[in-house]
Amino acid sequence: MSNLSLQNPLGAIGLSVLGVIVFIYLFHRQYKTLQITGLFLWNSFTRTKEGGKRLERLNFSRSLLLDLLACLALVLAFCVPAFQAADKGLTVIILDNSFSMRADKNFQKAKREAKEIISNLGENEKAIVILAKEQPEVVASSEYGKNKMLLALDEYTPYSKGAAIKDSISLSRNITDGYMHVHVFTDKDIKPNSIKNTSVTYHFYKADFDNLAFTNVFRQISGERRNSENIFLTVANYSNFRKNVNIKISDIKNTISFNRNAEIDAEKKKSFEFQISELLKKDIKVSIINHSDKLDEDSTIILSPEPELKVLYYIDNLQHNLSSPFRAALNASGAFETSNKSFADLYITQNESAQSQNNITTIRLVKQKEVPAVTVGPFIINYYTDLCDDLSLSGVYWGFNKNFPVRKNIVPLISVDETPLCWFEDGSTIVMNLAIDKSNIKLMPCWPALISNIVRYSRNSLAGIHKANYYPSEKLQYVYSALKDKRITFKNKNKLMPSTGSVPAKPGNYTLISKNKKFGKISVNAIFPNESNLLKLSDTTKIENQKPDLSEELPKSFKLLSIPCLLFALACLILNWWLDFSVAQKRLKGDAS
Amino acid sequence: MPKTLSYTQTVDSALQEGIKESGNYRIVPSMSNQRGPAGIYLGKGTGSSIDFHDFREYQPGDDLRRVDWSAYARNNVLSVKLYQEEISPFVEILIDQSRSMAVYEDKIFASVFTASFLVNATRQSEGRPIYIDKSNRHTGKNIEFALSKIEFNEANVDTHLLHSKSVGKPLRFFISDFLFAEDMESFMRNISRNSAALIPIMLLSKNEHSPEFSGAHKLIDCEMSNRWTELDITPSAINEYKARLKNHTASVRRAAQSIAAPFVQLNLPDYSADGNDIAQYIAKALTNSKIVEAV
Repeated sequence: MSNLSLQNPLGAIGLSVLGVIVFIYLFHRQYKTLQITGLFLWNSFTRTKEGGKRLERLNFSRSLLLDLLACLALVLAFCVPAFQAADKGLTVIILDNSFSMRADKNFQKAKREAKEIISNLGENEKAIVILAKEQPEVVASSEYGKNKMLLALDEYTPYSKGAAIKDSISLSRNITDGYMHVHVFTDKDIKPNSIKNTSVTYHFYKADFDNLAFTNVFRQISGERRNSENIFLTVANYSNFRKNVNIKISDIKNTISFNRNAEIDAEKKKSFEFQISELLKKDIKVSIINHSDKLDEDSTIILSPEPELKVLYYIDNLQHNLSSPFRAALNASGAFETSNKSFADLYITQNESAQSQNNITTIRLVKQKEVPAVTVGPFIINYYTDLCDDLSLSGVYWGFNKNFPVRKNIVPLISVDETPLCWFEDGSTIVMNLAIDKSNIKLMPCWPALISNIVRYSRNSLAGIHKANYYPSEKLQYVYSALKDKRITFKNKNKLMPSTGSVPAKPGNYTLISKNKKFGKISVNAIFPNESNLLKLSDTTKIENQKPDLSEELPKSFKLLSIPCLLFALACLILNWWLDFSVAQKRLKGDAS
Repeated sequence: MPKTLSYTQTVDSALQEGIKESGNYRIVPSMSNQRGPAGIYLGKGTGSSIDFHDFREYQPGDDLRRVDWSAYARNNVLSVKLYQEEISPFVEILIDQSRSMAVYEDKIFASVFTASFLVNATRQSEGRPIYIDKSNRHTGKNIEFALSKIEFNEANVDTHLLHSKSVGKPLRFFISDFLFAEDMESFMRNISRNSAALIPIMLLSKNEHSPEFSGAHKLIDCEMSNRWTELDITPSAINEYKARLKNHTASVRRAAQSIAAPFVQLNLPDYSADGNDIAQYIAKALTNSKIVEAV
């Protein structure tokens, strides 16, 4: 892309000289040429005075034209024009980091394409990678080399609840004033806008499933992790959900459309339920988990880990109560009967109590077997500690963001993204979010098993906080609202970890110390180090500050454009002088003859 | 001056207008010393007409039929009667083909018209018109053709053809603006050589005898473009110019008089599209100057 730019735009002030020249020429006496006979009869008259007497009509003479051209060229020379030929500009890779990009392995596809683009970059071409999360973030730059960029791309996995694509483009626009090739990899419907000095290429990825949950389902049904015995239908909405959602499950061979605002089509729903029940009849174990509070309330089933543990399920805007044929089908299928091999041998009993009139249904897990494979788990804070003091849990209370201070009478039980569970000691229950923002628990469709783990740990009366699925270097989401001087120190085998507020990278059991006082323990297993998307992200800075230095010197040959301008100006002046001279010479000869 | 015709159209128009206008005119036969073949005009010399001219003593070889026998009877001296000759006059027409003659359209028209007019008036007089241009002498029907092809592109007056010996002594018309700074007397003598009489006709365009422009002008000589002057043309400058022109015209007139040539000055009126006004003006002026007369 060729691009002519002025390195010294202030030089354009010199254009005012053009006006001065024209002004001078206005005062210059202009003679109207007239061919006559008998010049000798006029010759002896007094010559008129030249210039300065009165304003003359501007006559675009050769002299004026050459003077203007010379002046223009001089001004241009002072502006230092730089012709940036073959400037490829900045290549910007914008990866939609929203959760929905997990569908159909779209993120992997996007990364593959992005890598191709990066690989094809020239030696001196610049590129950056922006993760379009809720807030865009520059995560890699060609300043660290192409290979590092490619490696860094491997580290990213989509986890955001939203993707600020347009903000990402704006961010890249802030990074450079020059030309940009922007590649946007997204599954969002974005109306491409034309941006000055920017070419934007959209790489759209449309998944059959609009959200992670169904992607997981699909993967489990058809993919390598298929387990004929266990299918988890996680009806979740991790990213911005469109109003109409088409859910396709190949094995079900049916499509059901949920409209979160409108009445659910009873026929469709019935059909969907029927398909599910057909699956159940095939002796495929099904857990249906809806993390979303908005998607399809009446298909949401929250499983209680213990018969004696009542987990109340709040159904907002319930349009169908749970006494639907669907649940009846589930019950009738006996899908949740105990099986020795299945971890989720769940059994649902329905308590058609008076509570159902208040749209509160208790679903009880009647039997649970330990699943050794599952070693992950979220925080468990089973009693009040110093840590809980002033600890504000950024939570979502059924879709509403709300901060809940941890009080003595509250025991946050588990946090699973936007449908957390929390148990009050006083017997009342509230659902809230512990906001383990980057916890990979949301990747786990088997969170009922987690519940069982929690229960197990709880039974063992493990003190303090337990967490098993931290990423290395993951930061704890503690917010010290009142006492900011509080520090948490990790201690491992009497050795204090220097980190403050972040989880040690090495697996192990740690003691949490605040103000030289032990207040809890933490166990870090670091199960998914390869999937960590924090390792690289932690090195990056925020948007506003992330401006790679692209102001390298222009190649010298481009700056030389000033010299041709100067030469041109000189040529104009010499030509003007020479023409004047030759005309004067002719005239002198004429007078002499 | 409205310029409605192209150069060729102007020349053709002048040519046709000259033929048309000259139908009732002929050259006044009182020009002196013209020599030509026998014709209807009485020449200056002796000839064979019936008009008595003079007596002289008989010389051997004289025609005895011319001897005045009655005088011999009275005086006993042989004398012979001389009769005036009858001639057909040669009329040479020469147009100044310098560039100054073509600066203004009225002058182009007037010069070609005058030439055409005189050619045909000569024919009306049963004389022999000869049109001389820069390269040739044209007679008969060639004259019109040559006039239609006239070009005004000389830097000065070319008179070399005048110096070649012609038959007889012609009556010579020289049509010019005489706007050149030369010694007019010697110029007149030069162009009158080998002619019985020279009639200089001075044509001045309206723009020349009454210029009407004003303001700052770069005046360029039409014949030498490297000569110019830059002037602020004011009414007083115009007046001064007119005075100079008057002096110049007087000097041309004096020069003509010095060789006993009748001088005709034609200050052309406004030029109309058909040139009719100019044609009538010239015919009238030539008549008044006794160059031509109505038949």
